[in-house]
Amino acid sequence: MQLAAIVTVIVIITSVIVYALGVAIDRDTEA
Amino acid sequence: MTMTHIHLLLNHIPTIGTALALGLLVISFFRRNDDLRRVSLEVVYVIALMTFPAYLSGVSAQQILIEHPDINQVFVDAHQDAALWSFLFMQISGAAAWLALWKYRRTARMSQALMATVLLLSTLAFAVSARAANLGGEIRHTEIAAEAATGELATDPAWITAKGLGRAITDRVYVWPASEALHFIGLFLIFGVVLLVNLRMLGFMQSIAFSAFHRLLPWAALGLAVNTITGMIFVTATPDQYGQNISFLWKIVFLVVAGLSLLYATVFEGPWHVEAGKSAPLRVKIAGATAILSWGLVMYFGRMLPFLGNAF
Repeated sequence: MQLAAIVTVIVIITSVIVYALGVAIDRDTEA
Repeated sequence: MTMTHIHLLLNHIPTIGTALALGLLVISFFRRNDDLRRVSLEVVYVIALMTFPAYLSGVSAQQILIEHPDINQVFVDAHQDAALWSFLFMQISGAAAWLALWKYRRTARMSQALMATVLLLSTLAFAVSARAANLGGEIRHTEIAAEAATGELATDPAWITAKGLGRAITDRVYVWPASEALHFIGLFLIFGVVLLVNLRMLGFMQSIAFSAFHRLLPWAALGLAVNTITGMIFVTATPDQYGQNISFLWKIVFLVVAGLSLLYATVFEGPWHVEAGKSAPLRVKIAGATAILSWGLVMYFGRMLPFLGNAF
């Protein structure tokens, strides 16, 4: 249970970082 | 022929290739020629792509050498540690080069900031890969190793060595499952975008211009970055599962083909000029079909690692 919680947190945090990078590239391109 | 032969064939590509790319980059700065800039960025990208088989065939060669009585493992480990850093810098250079090429295709203007970044990163990549190449030579040519005289080799701190990183990964039970989940998220990003882009190249969704699909490509590149990092986590943690795995060998072969097809869709003239309402020429359709097939085979051989090969 604890393992699943840690894995979920890591996956969510990394996904948010990847999303933020994607948005940054997107904005830079549209500017 | 073993993977050691393949590694001996491929291991010069990162060093010599980066030297060539650096030369082209420097000349393109002085000549202020966008075509030359584009070619040099393409060379950086292709060298980064070829670093995958160069590094991973090295992992295979290492597995073979473990059983070899004449080989001092200290030299092998030192070479692998340097090669891991070389791989890292090569991939960051390749990613920056790809981004510069993608932006150039869309704006017809070369980003000076990205060009300078690629030049800096490629210089670092060359320095690190030259060190890896030198240490690789010392595995079999101990006579050229200054350290051989004393029987000792200066080694990096444990945490930045391939084995140290491998242990750090396997010691933490959450790293592998988290990396697996992220590897799948990366896969969705890559294949979702690649499928749309290449279906348009094949002639589907003709009411939309290719350039609109081209706009999505950075999301696929982000997926590729995620999967390169998580994939390297797997290989670094358990090299024995991949080094002699026939399924992994084919996965990397098709990854190179898929990577080349991504470059084609990103910069080449053929697909870019496919406007709304128009079908693509035959060569573009062939490239689109090749891309979908090769990405599909990358996934297939990844899934087959435990079944065709010896993983897990």
